[in-house]
Amino acid sequence: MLLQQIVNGITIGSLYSLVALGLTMVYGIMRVLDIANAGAYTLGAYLGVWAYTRTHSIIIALLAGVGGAAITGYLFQRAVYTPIKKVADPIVPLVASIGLFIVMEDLFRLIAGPYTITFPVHLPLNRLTLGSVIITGTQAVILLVSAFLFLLLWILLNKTKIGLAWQATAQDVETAMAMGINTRSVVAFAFILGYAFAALAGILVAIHYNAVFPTMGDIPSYKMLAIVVLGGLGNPLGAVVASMVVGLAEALVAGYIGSFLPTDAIAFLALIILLLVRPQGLFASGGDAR
Amino acid sequence: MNYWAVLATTVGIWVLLALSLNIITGEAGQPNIGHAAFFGIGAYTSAILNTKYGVDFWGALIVAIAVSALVGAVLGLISMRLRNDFLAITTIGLNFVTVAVFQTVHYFGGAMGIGGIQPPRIGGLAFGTLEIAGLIWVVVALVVILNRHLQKAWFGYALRAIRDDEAAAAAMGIDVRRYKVLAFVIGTGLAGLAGSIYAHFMTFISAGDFGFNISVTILAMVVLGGRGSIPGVMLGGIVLGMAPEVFRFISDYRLLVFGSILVLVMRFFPSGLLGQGSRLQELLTGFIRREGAGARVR
Amino acid sequence: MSDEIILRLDNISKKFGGLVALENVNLEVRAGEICGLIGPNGAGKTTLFNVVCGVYRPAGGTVWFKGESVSGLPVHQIARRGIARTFQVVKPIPRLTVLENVLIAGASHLLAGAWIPFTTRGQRAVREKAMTALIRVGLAAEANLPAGQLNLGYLRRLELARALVMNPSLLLLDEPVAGLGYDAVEDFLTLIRELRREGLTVLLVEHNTGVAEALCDHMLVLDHGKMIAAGEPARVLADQAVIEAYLGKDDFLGPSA
Repeated sequence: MLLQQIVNGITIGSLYSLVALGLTMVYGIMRVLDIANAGAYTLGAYLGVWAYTRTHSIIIALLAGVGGAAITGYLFQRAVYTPIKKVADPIVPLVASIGLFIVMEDLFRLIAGPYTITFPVHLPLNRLTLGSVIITGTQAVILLVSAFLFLLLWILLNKTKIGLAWQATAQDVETAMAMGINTRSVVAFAFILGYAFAALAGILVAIHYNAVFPTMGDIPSYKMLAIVVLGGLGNPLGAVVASMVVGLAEALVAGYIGSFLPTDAIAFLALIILLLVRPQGLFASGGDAR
Repeated sequence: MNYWAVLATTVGIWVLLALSLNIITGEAGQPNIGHAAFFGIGAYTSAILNTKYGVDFWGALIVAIAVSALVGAVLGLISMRLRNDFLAITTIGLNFVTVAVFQTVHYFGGAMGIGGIQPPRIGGLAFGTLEIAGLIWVVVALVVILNRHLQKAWFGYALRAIRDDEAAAAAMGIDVRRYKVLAFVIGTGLAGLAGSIYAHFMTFISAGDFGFNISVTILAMVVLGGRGSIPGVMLGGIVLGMAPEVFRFISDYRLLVFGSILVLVMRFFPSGLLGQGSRLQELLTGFIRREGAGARVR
Repeated sequence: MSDEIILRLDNISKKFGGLVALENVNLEVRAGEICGLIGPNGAGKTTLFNVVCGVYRPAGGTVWFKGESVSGLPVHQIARRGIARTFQVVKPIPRLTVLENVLIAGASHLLAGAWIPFTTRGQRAVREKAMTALIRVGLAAEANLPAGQLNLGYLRRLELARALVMNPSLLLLDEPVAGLGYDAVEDFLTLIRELRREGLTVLLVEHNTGVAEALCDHMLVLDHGKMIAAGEPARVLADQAVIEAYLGKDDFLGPSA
């Protein structure tokens, strides 16, 4: 029972971390809390299901979802965030991102309809049974894909020029500028990667629950904010660890204590308590805002 | 008549909420994206005192203001320790946690909410919709007068100094902590006041009335109207407060329009429509000489 | 110049993480003098300055101001006790007018008046005080412009007015002429000399040794958080240790402006 809850928690945590990574990537470079990132999550799911019902190829579905979201991220960055960023007040990009998120959700509703549609993928995988623990086929896929992406991101951030540039900028924008890092391409990199990760998480969630609906990004959008703060804004490793902590906490609370509070409030309650004790977050933040 | 009184009350409550958030976010520059939590705390305090303990509206109103302001003071103290972005997220969290508590704890009526709240009364006269509309707009007028007064006093300048540069403010002898907390206390106390009137106007409240989308709407009123500008946030409150009525014919696209306006205004008028330094404001001051006696020349 | 010691730093130390920023720094500033604090970049000048203002709490040692310890007091209280400062990177309140910027600083000790509009008659004294400070620094004509519209030279004057209106016993200037053109530097130095003649005590942080030499009665050189020399400017600047500390830094030879 405990092991089963842990497996479930890690699965949820992996999905959280894919979205949280996107948010933290964008924050690290731009100091913007990009709520619209969760729109990419829903967008990925819709594009994925649209492509899948036409081609019945999961690969094409993934490419469509991730590609579409990456393009959207790039467009948002060029058309909205970079121009707005010249304004000093951080509430301006935040409100703009809330606006973008509202627009995206309403477009999903208007175009695809307000109802839930299914994502009928049949993965050729059997459920694994290890003692008392059951890992379903989609759970296994989620875990494997996430592990692969963490590795990919680690390599990108530590072995490529643009990734190292991202790290330098996340630590200190001014130094990065002084070092002559071309922040324009690094910003684009962060948005493209951030939105692509969110879209992938959206597709996986849609397959996992066999459901796509316009407001599926609501809960991730705000819960991810709590998670990225727990992990230290702009700190990718922290975001992954915090996602796992929150995923596990939710699974264990749901499994043992029952619902004394809706699960979605747990992350925020944990966040508020943590911030009272450690105002700088669970991990040192990459950001140097303020 | 009744339709207009209801509309006037609803819009009045929105305007009061926008004015109250403006003191925190517009004047002192502290992000608060969970303002509906204080609106809710005021409403629930008032409702519980009235329905469970038989306290009348006026008594409940005072306690509602006090309780909201107290929670606001705690948030203000926390804000001293947090970076701006962390504070923004903490306020979102506060909103979610507050709604979750209202929704799940039996004492607060749980998912059913609280009904049977009595309308305000003076002597033998129970307030009807018209009287409540009068009450809320009298409150709005008082708040505007007081707020304008404070904006011209050292207190108002101190808040704006803190908003623009805390280090400079402290170097000028401003007790940053005290004035930040005061801004939170005043702003959240007024939100509690709005909540109390709302509860006794509706006579039935539930957690959903104070959700995160309400916080976003209040913030939108302040930001679209112009942070720090009293006429601006009042305009924001009136326009967005009436929007559901006025735009009924496009009700299916209401959110789409709302979201697009947020994006476009932030993109092209980041100070809001009537905010300081906004293009519209510059145009207006070109034609209208403002009365401002003394030092206020913009 | 009197013998009264306005500011005395007693064995001040400050660490950031494991990094020692200041180590046992001692300093005395006498009433009416201009005391310079110089040193190469990263020497700890601004850190020491921030310790005096209360931005940082010293890890060891005491800051004595007019005979009382002020270490550990919050910034605004130190400011109200009479230590006013300017910033190396100017910090105007951009959306307020020049006069309003000065009014805030001028009225900060009037706690009772915090709720009374400046436009009322009772606040006239504060307005006049602020205007006097603006006239003193030569900004009277710009009083009603938004501070955000001023150029750097005027902003440095604005900061000076904001400090003067607080009637400080000690004025801390953090690289007050950085970024100014040659004429503006000369004007500003003249202004500071005049203020000193009127009895103001100044602690000046300066990277540029030429500027410091032109102004200071007395100076202290920091390098890597330690005091390496102190005394009269001409003697200090001839000191071998000071020359070595600055060696290879192109700004040793006079004002770069």
